[in-house]
Amino acid sequence: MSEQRVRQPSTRSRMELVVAALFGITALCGVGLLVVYILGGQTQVEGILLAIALGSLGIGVVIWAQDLMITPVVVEERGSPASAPDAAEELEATIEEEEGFTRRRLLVGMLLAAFAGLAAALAVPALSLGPAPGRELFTTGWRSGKRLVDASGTPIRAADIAVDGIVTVFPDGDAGSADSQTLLIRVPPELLKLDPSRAAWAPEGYVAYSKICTHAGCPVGLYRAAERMLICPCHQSTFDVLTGAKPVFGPAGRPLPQLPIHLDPDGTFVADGDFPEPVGPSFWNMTS
Amino acid sequence: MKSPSEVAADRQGRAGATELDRLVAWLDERTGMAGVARHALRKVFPDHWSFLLGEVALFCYVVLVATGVFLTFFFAADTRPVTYDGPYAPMRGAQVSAAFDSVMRLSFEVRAGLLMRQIHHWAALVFVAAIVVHVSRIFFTGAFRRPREINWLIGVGILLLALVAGLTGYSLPDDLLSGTGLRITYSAAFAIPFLGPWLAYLIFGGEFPTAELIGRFYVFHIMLIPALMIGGITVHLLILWIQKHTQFPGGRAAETNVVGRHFWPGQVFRSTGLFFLTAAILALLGGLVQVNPVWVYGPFIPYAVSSPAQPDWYLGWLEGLLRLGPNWEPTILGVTIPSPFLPAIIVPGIIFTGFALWPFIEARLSGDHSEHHILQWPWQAPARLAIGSAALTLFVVLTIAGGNDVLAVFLHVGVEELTGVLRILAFVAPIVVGLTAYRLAVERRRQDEGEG
Amino acid sequence: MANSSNAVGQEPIWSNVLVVFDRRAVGGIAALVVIAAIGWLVTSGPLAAGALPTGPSVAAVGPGGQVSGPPGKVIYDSSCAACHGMQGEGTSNGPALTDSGAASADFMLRTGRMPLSAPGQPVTRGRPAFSDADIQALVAYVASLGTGPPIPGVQVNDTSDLAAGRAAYIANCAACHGAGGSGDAVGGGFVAPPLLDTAPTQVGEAIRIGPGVMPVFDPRQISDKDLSSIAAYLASLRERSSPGGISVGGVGPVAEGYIAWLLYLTAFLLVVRWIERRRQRSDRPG
Repeated sequence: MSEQRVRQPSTRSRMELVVAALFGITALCGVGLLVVYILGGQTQVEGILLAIALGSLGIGVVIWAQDLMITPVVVEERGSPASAPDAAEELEATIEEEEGFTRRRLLVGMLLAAFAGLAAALAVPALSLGPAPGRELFTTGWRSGKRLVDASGTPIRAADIAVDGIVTVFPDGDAGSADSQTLLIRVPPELLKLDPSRAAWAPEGYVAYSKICTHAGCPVGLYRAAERMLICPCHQSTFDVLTGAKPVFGPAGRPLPQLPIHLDPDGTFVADGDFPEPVGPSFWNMTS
Repeated sequence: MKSPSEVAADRQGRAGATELDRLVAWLDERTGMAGVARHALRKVFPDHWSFLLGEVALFCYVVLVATGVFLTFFFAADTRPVTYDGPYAPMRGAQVSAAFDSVMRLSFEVRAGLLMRQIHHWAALVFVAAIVVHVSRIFFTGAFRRPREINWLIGVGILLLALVAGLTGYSLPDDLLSGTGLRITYSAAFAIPFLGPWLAYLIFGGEFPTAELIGRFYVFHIMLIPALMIGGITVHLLILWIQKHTQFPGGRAAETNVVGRHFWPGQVFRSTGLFFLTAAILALLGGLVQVNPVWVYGPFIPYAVSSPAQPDWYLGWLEGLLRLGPNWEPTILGVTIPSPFLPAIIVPGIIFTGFALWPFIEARLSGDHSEHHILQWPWQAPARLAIGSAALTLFVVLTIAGGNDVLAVFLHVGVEELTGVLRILAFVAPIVVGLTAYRLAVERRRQDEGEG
Repeated sequence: MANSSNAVGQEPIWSNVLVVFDRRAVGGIAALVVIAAIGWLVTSGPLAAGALPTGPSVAAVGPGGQVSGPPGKVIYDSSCAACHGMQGEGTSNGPALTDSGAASADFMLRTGRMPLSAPGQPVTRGRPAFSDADIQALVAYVASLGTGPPIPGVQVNDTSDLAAGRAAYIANCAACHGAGGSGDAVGGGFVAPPLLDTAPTQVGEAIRIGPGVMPVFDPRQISDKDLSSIAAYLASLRERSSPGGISVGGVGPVAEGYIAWLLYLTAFLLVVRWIERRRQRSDRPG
C-alpha cells in the first residue's frame, strides 16, 4: 500500500474552501428546517432539508478526513489475543485459592440445586403472563338458538343476500367477536354437494362456514363467487364452498368448520349449535 | 507552581497551555485515562470498503434509537377503544384503539411526526438489509474463524433481535395489516405440539386478540430488546477492538500484523462522515417515500382483512415458507401436527441453528482449528462459497415467495402456477447456484495458483 | 510527470469531490436503474395493464339518458349478437344478457371489457370501444332485452360520507381490492383490479352486478347511500396525494422491501465505495 500523497497547497486550500462551503450548506439547511417547522411543517420539504443538511456535513467530513488530514499507512504488531501462558493458570489459581472448604462437591451441588429452585420460583411470576389454554379453544360464541346478525348487530334476512352474495355474521349479542366470525354465503342450492350429514345445515343454498382460516388464523375474506371458492389472503389457502369448504389449494390442512343453521319463518337465520370442530388453526390435541 | 497542563505546554515548547492541554490534564488527574486513550487513538485499522458495512448497520441503529425516542413521547401503548376525531376525514367517527389513535395523531397533527415515523420505519428496513450484507461479507471472507467465533454468535443474536424488534415495532400501531401478521405469529407458535397453545397464551396473554398485547410488545420493543441489542453491540465492538480487525491478504499484510491507519483522526472522521451520510439517505427516504400508511389500512378489526398481506421484508422468508409449505396435517397417536409446524418451526430452526453454529461446523468439517487474522477471498474457500451462496439463494427465493400474489400480478401469471414454480425453485435454485459457485471458485483458485 | 491529463495542482474541483467511479460500479448502478425503470413502467407506468382510462367519467347518471345516433339494436346486431345471440339469449360463445340489465351493459362497455375481439379472449379492462352516445344506446337496448339491475345513482360530492365509505370498503372490498384500492391476485388466474382510476358509477355498477368472479351485493346488504360513500372514499384516496411522499404502488411491505434493498444496493454501497475510493485516490503517488 502506498504512502499518502500530500497534495499541492493550492489544491488543499481549495478543498478546504469546499469543506467550509459544505458545512455552510448544513448550517443553512438547519435554519431552513426551523423555518419550515415554524410555518407549520411539511413532510417532504423537511425530509429533503434534513437530508441535505446531513449529507453536506457527511461529505464535508469525509473530504476533510481523506484529503486534508495526514493519515499515513502504518503497520502494527498484532500479538495473539490470548494472554501470556502463565496468565490462564494464575487465573484458575485465583478462582480456586480462597475457597477454604473440604466438602467442595457437596456445597457446589447444593448451590446448583438452590439456583434451580430459585429459577423455578422466578418462573412463577413469568407464568402469570398468560392463562393456560382450556376448553375455550374448542368453543366459540355460537350456541343453539343464537340468531345470525351482522357486524352492527342487525339480524340477517335471507332476502338481504343476493345469489352469489357473501356477508360476515356473528351470534346475536356477540357481534364483532373474533372467534365467532362466520361467513354466510348464498349459492344456487342445486350446486351444493355437501356431505349428507351436513346437507341440512345449509337451508335453500345458504351455507355458513367459520371465517377463521384453519392454517394460520387470518380471516378468509376473498370470495371468487362465480367459482364458489373462498381464498385466504395470507397464504392463499383455497376452500371449495360447494363441498364443505374443503381445502383445494394452499397450505391449509383441514376444511373450514361448517355452522349448522336453519331458516326461521320470519326470514332470519338461527344457529343449531356450535361448530362441530375447533375453529382456526389446528393444534396438537384438537381431536381430544 | 505550574499546573500539569502548563508543564505539558512547556515541554512541547508552546507559549502557554492550550484548551486541549487543560482538558486532557483535567480528565487524566481524575481517571488516569491518558495512556489508555493514547493507545486507543493510535490503534490501527485496515482499510477496505467492505469493512464499512457493519458501520452502516450500526449507524442505522443509531438513527432508529434517535427517532424511536421521539416517537415514544407520542405513542400510547393502550388498546382501549376511542373515537377518532382528528383531521383525517375518512377515519372520523371510527372506533379505534388508543394506540392507533396516537399514531394517527403522530402522522397528521404532530409537526415532523410523519417524518420521524417514516425515517424510523425505513431505518428498520435498511438496518436488517445492512446486517445481511455485513454477515455475508463476514461469512464469505472467513472472518468468523478462530478467534472470532464469539463475535459471530453475538452477531447472529443481534440479527435475531433485529427481526423481533421489527415485528414488535410495526405491530404497535394496531392496524389491520400488522394485526393480521400478529395473528399469524400467534398461530405459528400454536403449531408447536404439546407446548404450542400454552406458549402462545403466555406470550400474548390469552386467546388472540388480547387487550394486553400492544402494551406487552411495547415493553419488548422499547426496553428489553434495545437493552439486549445495545449490550450485544457493545460486546461485539469490544471483542473486535481487543482482537483487532482482520485484513485481506496482499501488500505487507501478515497474520502477525495489522496494516492500516490510526483510529484517530482518519478513521474516526471517516466513520463520522459515513454516519451523517447514512442518516442523510434515511432522512431522504423518510421524507420522500411513503411507508406503512396506517391510515389506509385502518384499525385492526379481527374479522376484516386486506390483501396483499405481508410482513416487512425481513420476515418475508417466513411468509414464503408458510405459503410454499405443503398442506400435510397428520394425526399421530391422537396428536395432530398442524401444517405450519414443518415450514414455520422445524425448517427455520434447523437453518438458524446451522447458521449460528457455522464457525464450529466449518472448523470440524475442514479440520482447520488454527487462528486466522488474514481473510480469504471468497473463491479461496469453494465449499464455503457454495454453501453460503446456496443459503442466500434459498433466502432470496423464500423472500420472493412471501410476496407471490404481488409478483403474480406483476408477471401476469396465476398465483397457483407461480407457487408451484417457486416450490420447485426453492429446492433447485440453491443447488444450481451452489454448484455453479463451487465450480467457478475452483476455476479461479486454480488460476491464482497457476500464476502464483 | 503527472499521468493524468491535468497537472496535479490544476485538477478541477469537481473531480476532487466526486471521484470517478470504476466501470463496474457504474455498470451495476445503471443495470439496477434500468431494472427499476422497467419495473415501474410495467407496474404503474404507461405500460401497466389496466392503466388505460376507463372511459368518460360520468358523475351521476340516471337511468334513461338521451339516446342519439344509431339505435342500439343496430350496434348490438353487428357487435354483440354473434356471441350473445340476436335476442340476448346467449350462445356457446357468450352468456345470455336477459338478466344483465343496464348496469351490466354500462359497466362492461364503459370499462372496455366488452366487446371482446374474439370469443374466448380474456376479459380485461381497456379503452371503451364505443362513443358515449353509442354506449347509452346499447345500454338502453340491452336493458330492454330482459330484466336486470338499473344503473345505480352514484353521487360523489363534498357532502359524501367518507368515514362510512371507508368502513364499508374495508368490510366488503378490501380483502380482494386492497385497503388502498391497488388490487391483488385472487387466485384461479383472476385479479381484483385496482380501483383508484375507476369512475364512481362503474364502482357502483360492479358492486351491484358482481362482474367476473366478484360477489354480488344486494341493496339491502350495501345500500345505495353506502354505494356512493364507497365510491367517494375511493375518489378521495386518489385525490388525496399521499402525505408520506411517493406511494410505491400501494401494495404495502413487498414494494417497501424492494425499495429498501434497491436503495441499499445503490445509495449505501455507492457511499461506502466513494469513501474508500477517495482514500485510494488520495494515495496515488504524485
